[in-house]
Amino acid sequence: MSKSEKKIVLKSLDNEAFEVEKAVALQSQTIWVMCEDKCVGNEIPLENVTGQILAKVIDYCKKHAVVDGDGDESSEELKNWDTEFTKNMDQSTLFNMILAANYLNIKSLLNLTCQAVADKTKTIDEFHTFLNIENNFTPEEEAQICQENLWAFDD
Amino acid sequence: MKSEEQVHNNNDSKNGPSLKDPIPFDLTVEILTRLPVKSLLKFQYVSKTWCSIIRSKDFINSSVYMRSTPPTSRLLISFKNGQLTRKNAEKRLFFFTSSQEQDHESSSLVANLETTMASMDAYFHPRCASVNGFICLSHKGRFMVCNPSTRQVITLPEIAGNDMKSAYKYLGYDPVNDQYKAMCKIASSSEEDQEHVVLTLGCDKKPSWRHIEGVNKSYHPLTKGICINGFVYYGAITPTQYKKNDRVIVCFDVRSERQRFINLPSTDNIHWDSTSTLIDYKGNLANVNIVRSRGETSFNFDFWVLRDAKEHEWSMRSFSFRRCWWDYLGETSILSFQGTNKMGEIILAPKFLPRSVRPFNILYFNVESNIFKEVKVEGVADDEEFRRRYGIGNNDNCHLYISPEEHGANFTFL
Repeated sequence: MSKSEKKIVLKSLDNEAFEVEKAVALQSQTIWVMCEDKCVGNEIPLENVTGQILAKVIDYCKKHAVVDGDGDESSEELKNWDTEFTKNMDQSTLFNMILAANYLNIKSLLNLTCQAVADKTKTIDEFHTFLNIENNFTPEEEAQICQENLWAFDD
Repeated sequence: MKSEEQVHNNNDSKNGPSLKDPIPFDLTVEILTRLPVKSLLKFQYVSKTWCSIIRSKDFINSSVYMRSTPPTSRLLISFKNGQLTRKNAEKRLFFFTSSQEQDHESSSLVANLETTMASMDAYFHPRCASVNGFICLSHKGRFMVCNPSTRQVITLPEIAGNDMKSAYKYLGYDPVNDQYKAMCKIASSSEEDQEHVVLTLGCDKKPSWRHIEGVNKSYHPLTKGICINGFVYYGAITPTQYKKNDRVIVCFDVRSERQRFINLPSTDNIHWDSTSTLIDYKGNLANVNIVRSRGETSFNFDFWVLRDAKEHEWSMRSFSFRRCWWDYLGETSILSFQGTNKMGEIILAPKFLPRSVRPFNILYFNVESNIFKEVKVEGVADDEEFRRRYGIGNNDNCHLYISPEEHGANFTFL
């Protein structure tokens, strides 16, 4: 097998190109399907992911790739690595990682990043700004909610 | 082969597409399903979409968080600050929860305040034992269903054209169709005219009351209701008083919405009054009655188990327990039955919160081995500061309601 067949080039939205091992890239179901279909050459354009995010996704995939003679990472170590990986990500990066993991269809990365958002976001306002969600309750609906708030919240 | 010459145009592109578009629906669900329950309850107010996701019937019960923390059986302990509460103190209903002890060794439970609920109405009392965590309340005459775990409160519509004087409210669950139904018995003050109405909870359309054909003989409800395996039961008397056959159980089939009477055994010595308590004994309806015998050193209670509803067949056993056991409950001599735990042990508790500020004891009674077990319950309004803050006076009779919940908290929204 020639070197070129084992490697693959991923091209980001902003035309950044990354050469990676096929085994690393194929963790993405989306890329796997593209390769299966043979509808692309050696270079795969990823229209929804920027270079900055793609670089991080590749870091993740490299760590999680099961490559011959390279699969002796203990699950405990991998877990710690995952924690460190998302620990210092700002919310905007995390948000884009979720979108990328979803687009590339990498289930474990989607799990990891969604859990990180769930763990990091503490207030309603944070969700509004971070996920760009509009508070679309009408005053009547707010009133109805208030009616339910006969309860004393204990937090 | 990374193309170094590629230059980012501006800082915006550095982090990818800006967040102009809201996050896709399926990703919202992915994130929500990973939040702890407490956060979910808080974040249902983020937006309408979030509210509808979080409140979809079994969302919380099936979340990642719930799957990783299996439910444990618990006791739901509730009371309201009493009638004699200081005038300026707000009337409240208090809900405490405690996980039930898992073994026979431990002899104390610690309860935590789960939540409190504002109540302006002094006559605010649970009419029915908890049905999978849902409690049926009467608030200013209106029928309310609430779940202290999710803090959902559903105020049911008024019963149209109802000029009847009294309304008895019950809640039932049909496990076949996974449906909750409210049932109401309304009657004129003379109790001669009576009607029964039913409402299905959790329907998408606006819920409304439907008339059902109830039992044709008029009756007066006596006991609290209990729902067991798709049937709601409550004790009643029919107006032909002082006859042997005037004591009945009203049985409401939640699924078919049919009602019928189950006769109580026709013996003279059966005690049948508002202190009678219906309990779920290993999936069967049971009735317990205290037989008071003043001045003696022991007390008796009768324990009836329904063996065959069609044949009106019951089995009865009498138990006596020594006065000293009674004393374990403390200063109050009024005692009430509060259901059974999963071992089938009957829970006895003081009827009222102790007037002195201290933990109280409950008793578990095993009818098979005839053994009592005393368990101290700590944390329920047993400190001065708590009582002062909520205006719980020393002369208050705060009725204690204890509901064993075998499956732990229920986070279903209706």
